[in-house]
Amino acid sequence: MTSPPTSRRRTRNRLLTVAVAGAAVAALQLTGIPGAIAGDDTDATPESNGEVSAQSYGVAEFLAECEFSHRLPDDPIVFPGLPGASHMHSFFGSPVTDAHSTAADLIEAGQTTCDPLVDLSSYWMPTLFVDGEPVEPQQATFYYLGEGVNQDVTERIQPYPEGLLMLAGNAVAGPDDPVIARWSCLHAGEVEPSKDFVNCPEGSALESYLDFPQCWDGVNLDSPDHQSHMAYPVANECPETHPVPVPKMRQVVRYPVNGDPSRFELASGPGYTMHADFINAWPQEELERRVRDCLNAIVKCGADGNPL
Amino acid sequence: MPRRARRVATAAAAALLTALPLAGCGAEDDRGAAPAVTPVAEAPAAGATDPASVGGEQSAADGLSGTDLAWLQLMAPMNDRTLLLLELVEESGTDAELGGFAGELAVSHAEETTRLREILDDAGVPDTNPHEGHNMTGMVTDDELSEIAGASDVDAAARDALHEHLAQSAMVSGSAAENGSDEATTALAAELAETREGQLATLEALAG
Repeated sequence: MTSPPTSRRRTRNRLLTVAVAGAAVAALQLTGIPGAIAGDDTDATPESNGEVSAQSYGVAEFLAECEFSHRLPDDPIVFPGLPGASHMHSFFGSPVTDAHSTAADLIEAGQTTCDPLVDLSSYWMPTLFVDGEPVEPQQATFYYLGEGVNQDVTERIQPYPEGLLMLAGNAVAGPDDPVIARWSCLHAGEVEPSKDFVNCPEGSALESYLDFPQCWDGVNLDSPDHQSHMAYPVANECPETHPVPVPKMRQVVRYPVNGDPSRFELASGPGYTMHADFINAWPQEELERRVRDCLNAIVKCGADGNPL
Repeated sequence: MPRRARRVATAAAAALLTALPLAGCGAEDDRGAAPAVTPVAEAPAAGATDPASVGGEQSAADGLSGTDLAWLQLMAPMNDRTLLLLELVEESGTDAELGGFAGELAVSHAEETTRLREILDDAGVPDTNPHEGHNMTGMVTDDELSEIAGASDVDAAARDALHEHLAQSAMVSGSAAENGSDEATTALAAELAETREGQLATLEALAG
C-alpha cells in the first residue's frame, strides 16, 4: 500500500514547504494573528514568498507525505459504527480505516500509505468531484508545525496524546460563514486564494490548505462536537481552557485539476465546506522525538523527523 | 474481525449536548474560523470543555453514544428529504399504485421522524442536520428532486430514488441496531431496519 514519493517530488515539496512556512510566518508578522495561513485572503500564495525568508524566521516542522489510500462513505469520528452514513471521503495514511476504526485498530493494523512508514494515523477529507467524477489528490502532505504561537509556546509544544481525534473546517458551512479552509493554485501564485474553489490556469493545479487547531484541553481525546476539546490560539497563546500546545497540523492537498471551478464539487458541497479529520496513531515515542527535535528545537525536519 | 461500536465521549456528551450544537462531518465553531484580520480572540466559551465532564455523569447523556447520535441525526433529515420526494410522487406521478404507496410511506416516515426527534429532544440534542447540502446515498438532494420532477418518466425516476433511500436507511438502521447503545435508539433502529426491508419488498413488487 505504500509508495513513497519520488525524490523529485520530495525536493519540490521541500522547497514549497519552506516557502509555505515562510509565508505563514510572514502573515503572522503582518497581521499579528495566530494561525494565519498562507492562503489567507490578504496574503500572497506560498510560493510567491520565496524560500529565503524561511531560515530567518526559524522553521519548526516535520511532515508526513501520504498517498491516496481509499474512498468510503464513512466517518469513524463523526458517524462511528455506521458504514455509509457519511458523504464520500478520501482516506490517506492507514489503509484500513472505515466507520468502525479506532486508533487502536490502526496501530494494530500497522499499515500506512505515508512517508514515514511509522505514521499509522488516518487522515481524511471530502472527496472532490469534477463533472460528477471523483478526482483524488496527487498526494496529501501533512505538516506538523511549530508556528502560530509565541516562540516560548513553541518550545513547550507537546506531542498529541495517543488516540487524539481532531476535525478542522466546517462541512456544513454556508456561503457567508467564516471558514479557515483555503483554495489556491500550485505554480500560479497570482491567483488570489479563496475560501471557495479558484480558477487555476493551465499548467497549474488546484490546492487546498487547512490548518487544524493546536491547543488541547489536556483531558479529552474527543468531544461531542468533535472539536471543542481543541482550540485555535488566541493572541499567540493557547487559551486557559485549552492550555496544552500541540503541533499545528497543516493539511495541503493538491488535485490534478485546473480551470473552470463550476465543474468542481466536494462531497460535502461547495469549496468552503472543505474539512478534514484525523486519528492520531503515531507511535508515541516517534512523535515525542519529532516534537522535541524539530518543533521545540525550532528545526526544519523531513519526513524522517531528522533535520534537513 | 470483530467490530464494535465506538462510544464517543459519552460522558462529555452529557455535559455538552445542551450547550453545543452538534457538528456535522466536521463543522467547526466560530472561534477558529475568524478571518485573519479579525482577532481570533473570541476566546472559547469558558468551560466549553469541562474536563470534569469526562468520566462522570454518564446518565446525563441519556446513554446516547456516537453511533446513536449519528444514526438519529442521519435518519431524521433523511426522512425529511424523502417526504419531499413522496410529495412529488403523489402530485406528479402517473402510476396510481406507486402514488398510493408513496402516500403510505409519507405517513410512516412522518411518524418515524417524530419518534427520532423525541429521542434527540430527550437527550437535549439540538435539531441540526450535519448532512445539510451533502451529496450522499439515500439522501434526496434538491438537485435530485429537480431531476426527478423533470424526468420523462417521473414514476421510474422516483422509484429509483425511493429504492436507494429505503435500501440505504435499512442498512444504516441495521448498523445502528447492532452498534448503538441507547435502548430506545437501538430498538427504533431495529424496528426501522425491518420496516424498510418490508417497504423495499413492496416497492420491488410494484416495480415488477
